[in-house]
Amino acid sequence: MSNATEQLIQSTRFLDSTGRVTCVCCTQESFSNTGYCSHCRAPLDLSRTSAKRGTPVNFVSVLGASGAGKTVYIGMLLDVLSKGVRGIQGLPNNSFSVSIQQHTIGALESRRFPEKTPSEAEGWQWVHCEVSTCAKRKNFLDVVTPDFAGEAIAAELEHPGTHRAISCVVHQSKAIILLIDSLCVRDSGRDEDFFGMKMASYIHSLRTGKASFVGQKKTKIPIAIVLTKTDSCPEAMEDPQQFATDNMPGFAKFLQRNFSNFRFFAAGVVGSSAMFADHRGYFMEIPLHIEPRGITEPLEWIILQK
Amino acid sequence: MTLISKLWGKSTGSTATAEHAAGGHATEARSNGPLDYCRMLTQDAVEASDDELDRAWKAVRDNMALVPDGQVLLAATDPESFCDVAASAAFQATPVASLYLDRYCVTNAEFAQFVSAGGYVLDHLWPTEILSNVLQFVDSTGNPGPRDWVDGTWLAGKENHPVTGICWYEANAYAHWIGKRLPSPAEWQWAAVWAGGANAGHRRYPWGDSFDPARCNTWNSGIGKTVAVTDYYAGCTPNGIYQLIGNVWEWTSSLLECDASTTGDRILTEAPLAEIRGGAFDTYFASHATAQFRSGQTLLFRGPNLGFRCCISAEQLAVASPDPFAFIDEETQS
Repeated sequence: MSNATEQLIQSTRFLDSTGRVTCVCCTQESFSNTGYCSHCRAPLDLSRTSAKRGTPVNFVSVLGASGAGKTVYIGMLLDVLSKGVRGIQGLPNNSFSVSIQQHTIGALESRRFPEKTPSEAEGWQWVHCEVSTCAKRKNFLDVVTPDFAGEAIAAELEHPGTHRAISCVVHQSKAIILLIDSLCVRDSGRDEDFFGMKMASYIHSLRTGKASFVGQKKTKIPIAIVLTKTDSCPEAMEDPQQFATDNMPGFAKFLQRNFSNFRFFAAGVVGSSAMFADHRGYFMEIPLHIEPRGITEPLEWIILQK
Repeated sequence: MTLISKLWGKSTGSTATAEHAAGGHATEARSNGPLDYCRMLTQDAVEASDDELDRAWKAVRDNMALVPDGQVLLAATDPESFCDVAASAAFQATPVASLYLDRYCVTNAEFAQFVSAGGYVLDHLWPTEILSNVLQFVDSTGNPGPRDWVDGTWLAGKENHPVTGICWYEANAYAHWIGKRLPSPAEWQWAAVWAGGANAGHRRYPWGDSFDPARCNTWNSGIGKTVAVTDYYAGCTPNGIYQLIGNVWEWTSSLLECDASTTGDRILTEAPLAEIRGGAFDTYFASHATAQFRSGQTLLFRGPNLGFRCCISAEQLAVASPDPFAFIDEETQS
């Protein structure tokens, strides 16, 4: 156990008796009866659970633009991990982790996509999932990530400090899963390319403490870039690396210049889809059946990078 | 030379497939008798000898299962019912006439015979409006055939797996070529549940009402790919129809058409969808792989998890035999 972790655990035990808790996300103190950290809005249950376990917390954050499919990806990832796949098993560690899984799976099974994540930090659901592998059953990867709203991430990129939880989680993360909507990349100009560049730049500056410049050392944090909704974009499914290079040239070049450990993946959950049109003319895409693909591969790759 | 063969610039089917078949790989791995036994019993019955007819009837018994007539309850397709899979309570009673349904999905080996017989260049098998698409019904190396084949043939070890990578038109063309047709959604569903007796209307699986991953190849089985059409005996219907649930979705003959609700809500699609049934090796939810579950795919979709099986109305075979159920009595007596 590292000294920093031990200090954190000791301070948590001490502060707990005085009614205060040290937040595992931003390391600031909060009163335990508030439920959420008063600084970054992370749930304090997360800090208590982590302290009781007494092992280092390995944050893996999931980021992406609004509508990139973060909630579906996280919910489906948790459900697949809870069943176990290719020797990897994941156990949700708190009720809020089960909630997002339940929320997502319940919606998809009933041919709906889960409701949009609220942009207010109080409405975000935090995932905490202990992942173990057959090979290293005693060596847990401790996945902790909030289901950030895409709008909040965009606001944080434009004005750093707007949502402190985002910068704290990115700063603490041992690895990052970055979701990119493949359909937007293909059909909606270069917005996703620019978003990817902003996101990568944000991560880079948080990890190095300075802006990117030519000749600077590359950041080593593993970044899995997941092209989502590839069930409707087969060209991205077939070769995500080539698809990204062809259609997101700015983002791809930025990654090559500033990150030493990244890889592109393709994911999708929908077998086929239709549109629900209500009598007021409101349209909503609905999945007809669910076939998850490429959901756990990014995490498997991250585990191998440890 | 047919119009399509002129468009292809070829006068026969895939050379590679023909060579492959000649090499003995395209054997009838499972089936007995002639492949076109249904055509022999219907269109060619007058000219066939008694011996040929006997062989054809034996092939029917070996390869197809009789499904008696009855009434099936199809899940309603109004938006409210359609988007509430688990609790769907609205059903439409639909009569089904007796039919013979393939015991197995069409395999790669069987489909290869269609390819090597020039199926992709026979004008009468393809609607005129999709002739330009037929030229794109090629494998990964540009030969006419299923999308996931290579050099005009299936991947090693998959001769007895269901053929996949074929669109709705290719499935229909094969069925027509062999003297059969695709089953309607009602026929497909009735074949899966009719043996449930009084409970048949709401029976969820051929073996009962509870999902069992040991009886079908879905995501929960953990296999993640297709298996041979003869696997999962435990998931058969009592009359010996394999893998109606799982392994591959199956094309049916009808389009998936959703009704408007009383409030005016509707389900819309960008392109027409054909109804597909049964779920596949990658179907995640058990509730999406029941006998009742209705889904759809665009007509030109050529996915790795979608195949088909064929059927023929018992009434059509009755032309050749006054009593199409006679062999059941014979088998019972023996």
